[in-house]
Amino acid sequence: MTAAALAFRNVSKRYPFFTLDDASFRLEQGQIMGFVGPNGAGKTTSIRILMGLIQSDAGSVELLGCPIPSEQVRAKWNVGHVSDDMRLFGAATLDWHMGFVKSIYPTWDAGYATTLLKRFHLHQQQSIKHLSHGERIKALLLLVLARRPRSLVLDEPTSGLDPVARHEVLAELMDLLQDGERSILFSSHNTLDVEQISDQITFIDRGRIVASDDKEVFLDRWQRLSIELSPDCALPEVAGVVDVTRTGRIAVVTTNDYRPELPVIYAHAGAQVRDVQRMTLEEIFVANVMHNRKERGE
Amino acid sequence: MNRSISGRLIAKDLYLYRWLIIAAVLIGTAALPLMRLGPGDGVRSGVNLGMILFITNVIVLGIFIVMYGVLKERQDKTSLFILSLPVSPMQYTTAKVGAALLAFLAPWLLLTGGTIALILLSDTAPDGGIPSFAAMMTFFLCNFCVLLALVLVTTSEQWAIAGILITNFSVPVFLSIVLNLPDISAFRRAEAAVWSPTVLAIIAISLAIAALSLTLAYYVQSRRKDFI
Repeated sequence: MTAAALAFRNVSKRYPFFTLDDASFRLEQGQIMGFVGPNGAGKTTSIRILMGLIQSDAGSVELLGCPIPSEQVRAKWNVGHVSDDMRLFGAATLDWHMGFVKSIYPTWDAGYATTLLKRFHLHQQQSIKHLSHGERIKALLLLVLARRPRSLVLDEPTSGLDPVARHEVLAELMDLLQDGERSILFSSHNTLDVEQISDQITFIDRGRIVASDDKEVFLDRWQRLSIELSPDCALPEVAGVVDVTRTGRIAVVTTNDYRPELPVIYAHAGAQVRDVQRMTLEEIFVANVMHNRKERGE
Repeated sequence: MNRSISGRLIAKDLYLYRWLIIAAVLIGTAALPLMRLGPGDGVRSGVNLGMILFITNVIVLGIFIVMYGVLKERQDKTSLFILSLPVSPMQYTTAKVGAALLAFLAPWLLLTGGTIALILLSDTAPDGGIPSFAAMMTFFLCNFCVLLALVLVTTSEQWAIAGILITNFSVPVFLSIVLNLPDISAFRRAEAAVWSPTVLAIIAISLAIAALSLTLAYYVQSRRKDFI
């Protein structure tokens, strides 16, 4: 059995005002995982633990089968990491950076680097300090993609990018997965990007993993039902319902465990299901987080 | 394989420091002809501008290397880019220290050697000035290592500035008190260099403090759980 691209098992890290608590998730090779959470949820902390920049207080981490942090150097030969707060050397040019990375990685693909320069509208001789935020992110991605890593770990890679640039970046990430052997973990609070390209989604909120599953499982199981019923009629308790909002004769029921027999159950209780709507990933994320916070009494 | 990456990181830093190193050598060299190394040096007959420029140049070189090359890289998160490469945080630290030491020692050796050569070749500058000059330059090396060690272990700009202030404050103390110890000042104008036990002890203590501070910094870094 081939090693997972990454495995995060019961990882905890405590800070004075934040705790990453017993986090576990796993990404198989050839998959993209969207790592979604609000600001301050623990996405960056988790990624930094994954890259060996921070040591966890408990739990185990593996990246391409290499235990982290002890074998981080071996892992990093095959992993590309970009974060939105990462900076290049302002006094040097993009060309210098390309030469620097090329001197380290024998897998550097000069032809692909040239292609990316054109696709990302970057100029080799341009000084880094004159790049905009979006151009800097694209330069970082170029430096990582051109060395053909087996895995990418990206922390908010589309943050601050205009829609065209986001499209360009996401298209390159999708291209990367064509051979079915590469994996990508990317964190974002932009669920549109995540929904577009991810196979798996992991939600994190306030240091805890809220849910982790295939994207299609989330989209299939989370549904919103519009139900018509008389004002004095009570809705039956159904497992999986996370929220009910009633306005007059209409109740909107949000469930994380939709199954085809649900409308029948409500019909037996005298309620009529008028509509069943799939939820967007953003709606699922918000509902998931709010439900979990309520359950934890937060 | 990782030795070559450490070498590349050191070469990277030296490339980024290149103008600093060149400027330090040029300014230090320009200061040499202005220095009064012979009788009537600064304390007795007016301001020794060349010596002031020379000393300032060496101190500023050290400060720039530490602030621009070490602290700024961490503050700017350029270190994140380097740590995304196949290096561990300790290898990164080693390369940083190696590069900083090389960047400081190259001009330091040139200027120290150049000045000593000037004294030896000069008809007017007594060779007796060599030991106290060597002690002074070793003291500056010590200050640089202490500042480098401090900045390695702290991410705080305030602590770095405090370190600069303390090491800078120690310079006039060293020049006015230590170099005027009887066992040193008595031989400064001698025709031949006299390596008294006091001057040798000062050099040894400076080197020991330099080594100890960097060793402590390494120890603290090795125990660190969070590098960012």
